[in-house]
Amino acid sequence: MTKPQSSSAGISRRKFIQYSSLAVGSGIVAACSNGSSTQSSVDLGENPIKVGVMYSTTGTIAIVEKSLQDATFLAIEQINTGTGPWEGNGEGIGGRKIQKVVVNPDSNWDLYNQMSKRLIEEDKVVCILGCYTSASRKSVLPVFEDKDAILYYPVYYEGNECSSNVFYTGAAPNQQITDSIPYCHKNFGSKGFFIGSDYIYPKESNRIAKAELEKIGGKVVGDEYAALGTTEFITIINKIKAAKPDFVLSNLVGDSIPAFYRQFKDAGITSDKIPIMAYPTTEEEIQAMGPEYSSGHYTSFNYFQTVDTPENKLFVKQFQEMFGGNRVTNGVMEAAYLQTFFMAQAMKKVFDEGGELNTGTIREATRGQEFNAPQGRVKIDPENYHTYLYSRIGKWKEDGQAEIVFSTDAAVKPIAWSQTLYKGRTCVHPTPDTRVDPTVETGKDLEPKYLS
Amino acid sequence: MTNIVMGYKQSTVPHKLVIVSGISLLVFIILPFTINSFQLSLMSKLLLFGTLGVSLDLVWGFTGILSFAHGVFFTLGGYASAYYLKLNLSAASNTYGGELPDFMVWNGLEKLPWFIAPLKYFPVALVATIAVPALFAYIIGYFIFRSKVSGVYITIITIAISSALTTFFVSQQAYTGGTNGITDVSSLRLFGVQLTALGLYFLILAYAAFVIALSWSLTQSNFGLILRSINENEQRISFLGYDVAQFKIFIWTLSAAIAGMAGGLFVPLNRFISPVYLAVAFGTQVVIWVAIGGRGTLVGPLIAAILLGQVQNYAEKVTQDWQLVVGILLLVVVLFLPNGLMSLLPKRASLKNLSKPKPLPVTVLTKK
Amino acid sequence: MLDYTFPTLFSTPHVLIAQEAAASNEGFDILTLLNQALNGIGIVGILLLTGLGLAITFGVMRIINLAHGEFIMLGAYVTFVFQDAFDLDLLMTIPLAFLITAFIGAVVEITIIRRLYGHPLETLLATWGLSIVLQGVVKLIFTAQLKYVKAPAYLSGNLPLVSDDSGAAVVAISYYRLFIVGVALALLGLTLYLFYGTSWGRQIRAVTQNRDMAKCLGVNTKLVDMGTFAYGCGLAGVAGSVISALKSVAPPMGQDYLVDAWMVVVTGGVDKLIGILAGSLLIGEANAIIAFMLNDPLARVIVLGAVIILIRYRPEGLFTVQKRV
Repeated sequence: MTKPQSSSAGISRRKFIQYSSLAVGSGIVAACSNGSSTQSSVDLGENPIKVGVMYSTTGTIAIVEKSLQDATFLAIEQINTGTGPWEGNGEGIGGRKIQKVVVNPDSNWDLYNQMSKRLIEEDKVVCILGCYTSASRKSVLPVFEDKDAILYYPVYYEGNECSSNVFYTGAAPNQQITDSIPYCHKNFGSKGFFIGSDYIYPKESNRIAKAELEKIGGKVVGDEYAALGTTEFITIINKIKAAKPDFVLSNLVGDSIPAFYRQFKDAGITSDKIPIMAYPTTEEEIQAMGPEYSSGHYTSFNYFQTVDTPENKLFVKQFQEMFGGNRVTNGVMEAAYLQTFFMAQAMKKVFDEGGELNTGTIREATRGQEFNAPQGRVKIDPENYHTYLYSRIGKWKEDGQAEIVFSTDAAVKPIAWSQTLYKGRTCVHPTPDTRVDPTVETGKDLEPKYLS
Repeated sequence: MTNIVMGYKQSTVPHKLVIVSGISLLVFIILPFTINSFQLSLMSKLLLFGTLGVSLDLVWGFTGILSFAHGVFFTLGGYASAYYLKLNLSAASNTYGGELPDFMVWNGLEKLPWFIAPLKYFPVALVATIAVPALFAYIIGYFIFRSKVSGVYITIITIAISSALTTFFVSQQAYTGGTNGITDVSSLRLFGVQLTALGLYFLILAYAAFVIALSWSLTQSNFGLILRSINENEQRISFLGYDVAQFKIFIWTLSAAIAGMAGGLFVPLNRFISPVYLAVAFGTQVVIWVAIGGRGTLVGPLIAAILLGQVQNYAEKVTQDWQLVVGILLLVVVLFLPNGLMSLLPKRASLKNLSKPKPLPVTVLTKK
Repeated sequence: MLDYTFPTLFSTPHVLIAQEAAASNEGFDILTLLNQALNGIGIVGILLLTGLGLAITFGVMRIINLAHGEFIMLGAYVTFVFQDAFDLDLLMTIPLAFLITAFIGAVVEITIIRRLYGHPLETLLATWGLSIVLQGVVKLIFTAQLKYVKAPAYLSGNLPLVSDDSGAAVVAISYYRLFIVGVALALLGLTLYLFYGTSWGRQIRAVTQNRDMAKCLGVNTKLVDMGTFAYGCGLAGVAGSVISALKSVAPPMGQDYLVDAWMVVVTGGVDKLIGILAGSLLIGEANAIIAFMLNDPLARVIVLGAVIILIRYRPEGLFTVQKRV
């Protein structure tokens, strides 16, 4: 009924606008297809192995997931060319190269679910590397369990989960929280103020940290959550000022992190008065906020760019060669990097034993894989599919890099459940995995174990 | 006067429409046997999204109320159905044993809240899936339409509702599962039989067909005529003695109920529900389906949801920046096809024309 | 009081761990509350700044601009680019941010908005599409990573107002927050002057009141439309530029401000530009105080709820002269 308003200048001008907007549009489309074509330009030889890579490169989570994608691409490149840690294994895995099928779920949980279905059923990938937030992992989990496919998940998370279809290569609660709380208690004091983004990982990990702190005689003087993506922290900072804690435990994520540290310093609180101990704050967020805002604060993680191993020096060098000298590496990227090698080693093992690649064989082959990662020697726990990782605490310096002030001597055995909250609960997958519920109640305290 | 007579007579079903809709239904019945399992689940999802679009079209296309809150109604229905499926998870597959859902255990709840417990029973859950969003919509509708709020302000209210509810659901993690939402739910069993993917598709198809038929008959009736007239000139219709607000509240509530049921069917398909469907971004998505499909065309939003979903699926294979393609497409449609994709169809193939009965003999008209 | 009654409305009390912890903070000190109210001014400044552009495009021109947040984002990127490439001081990049976003705004007006006057819903959809496109293009150019913008050194630190015995500031506001409030007020003043004190402003008002009549009287309505829209976008650009040093710069950053900016404009009322000052003052302070007493997410829910009720009873905003229809 309503017609488009034609401008008084008549048809010619409208045509002009029409054409020019089309031209701009097609130019943009051309620009982006150029961007993705570089990925498939390499000759993949015969019969490549299809692997799904599922990280958002647009939307709110892209600020983190894009660098996970970069780290994964570096690892795949090294496997396909037989360089880096893959040196001596020849090009590809048993002569077959990895063909990455890349999807971008646009930071939308609904699309994670849809695209993982597509990767498994339509693209028929062998396994998938991906996801960052707990919400995205939870949204794809039913797909992986229904179709019995494998997800390698590279992120520290809140625990409380043991799936036969996921290999968790980021920190479990006992590899990140257990050591940092006594450290804070000993070095800063007994009163902690806990903050976090308002979703499951920060809440659960603060709950675990609270139990840990109370166990050793400390006290939580405040517990505050900000909506995901909030960049306004005046109120929370005021509450911190009023509560006068000895330290702040931060579980903020994403772009809330730079905003909080900046406003914290702007409010006149220095790191020697109230230091911040953070879990998700890494080199990348430090770079985005400016190192002057973070110096003197702490992060508990498995990996820092300054970890002194030959593997790490190589990793940092090769990463910067591929993506630019101004880029930094961080713990999540390292996990995304090392899990790709776990996957490749498992595939190699399957081929060496003369098997075929499928979910069953890859799952059994991945269990117990060991790898000399940038952070040191790590291993997939054959019992609970989480990863033996180092536990470290770094103090941020003026240059945006961390001075490592605490480190375990070897990788710590992962436990998916906080032992302070769920005493004796752990999980043990049967061998071979029959996909039954692996939860085991031992009823007694689990002693920390290290990788020998 | 003649208009009203026509409207009345149109309740007899016209032949052309029966043929066209019969053929389209047949296509959708044959379709699942020709596509792979991913496409089957994608099509099931897009059919539901399309139904959600139809529900918005009822209020936007016919009554002129632009709402960004239809994602909210959809999600409320979804949560009702998700609680049902979660509570019926067999004790063996519940990580913590017992009947308390895992996320409640994590958040320190010791017993099932009273307002969630009854959802364990199928009849209660079924009613709640429709009634909760409908009731919520009724309250909002009563609040808004019985006031002088109009036009763009209603739209802004719906944006605020969607934004506030998203924050609220995320913050009440113990009850709603926070950003994760409700995950790890059981699959839907009807009459003791577990529904397969194909079965679910046909259930969804049946629902979509029912919604289209219901909306069609509603909009072709006298009631539909009044709705259209409200859209065109609200004042005149109220001078004629109709209670305009009453009509608006009714269609608004009905539309929310339709959206809620779509959400309820979405959970067994998707196996999770989360605040992502409450957010303004999803509400906007629904608006876009209706705008691209064509307002007031009923089938337009359904077609647009399916088309856009497929475009997105294929664009994603070509470029990582597929949403740019979607954005440009939206701009092009708004600028050059203001009445949506349905306006591309030749006029005689439009729903309105198809549903016209054979011209009545002049005598009938004059007699009245 | 609120602290105990409100949460129980929604839930059984033992769940709200966060509130219990907050309640154990030995009660509210009047000075901390004062400090919070003062810092609420910082929030008000940001709301005012981000809402001002929308008050022009929506309040004056009645264009439903869902790409408003993206113009804020563009302003932030302008600052980033000039600081990164030429090492310019943040203050120097503000005029550039204004000019460049205003130019982009003008282009958008000519190519898209102009064709849709009189079709508010189409404008809404087109600007939503535009926001997707702008985010996408910026992401293609600058990648999705967070960008770092440096605040000028002379604006760091705090202005202490009340100190305790040991000399530590109890009530203080950061210089940068004051700077934001200053910029926002200055821009509001400038805008008011432009609208009510110059002939261009008279032309704008003439066009919005009676387009045909204005045309007959020789006003170049197209130029006025373009200029006004561009000015609104330019203001959004300034907001982005100023905010960039407080937060961080990334393609989706504008989305955070969209809903808030809308609420501010609607609360204040769209007829009088000065309404936006009242709108941001109310929403900002309410947010700050409620968040301090309860918590952030609940404050947001309550404030949004209050705005909904406000629209219901006063759709034209708080500060509008009632007109007879």
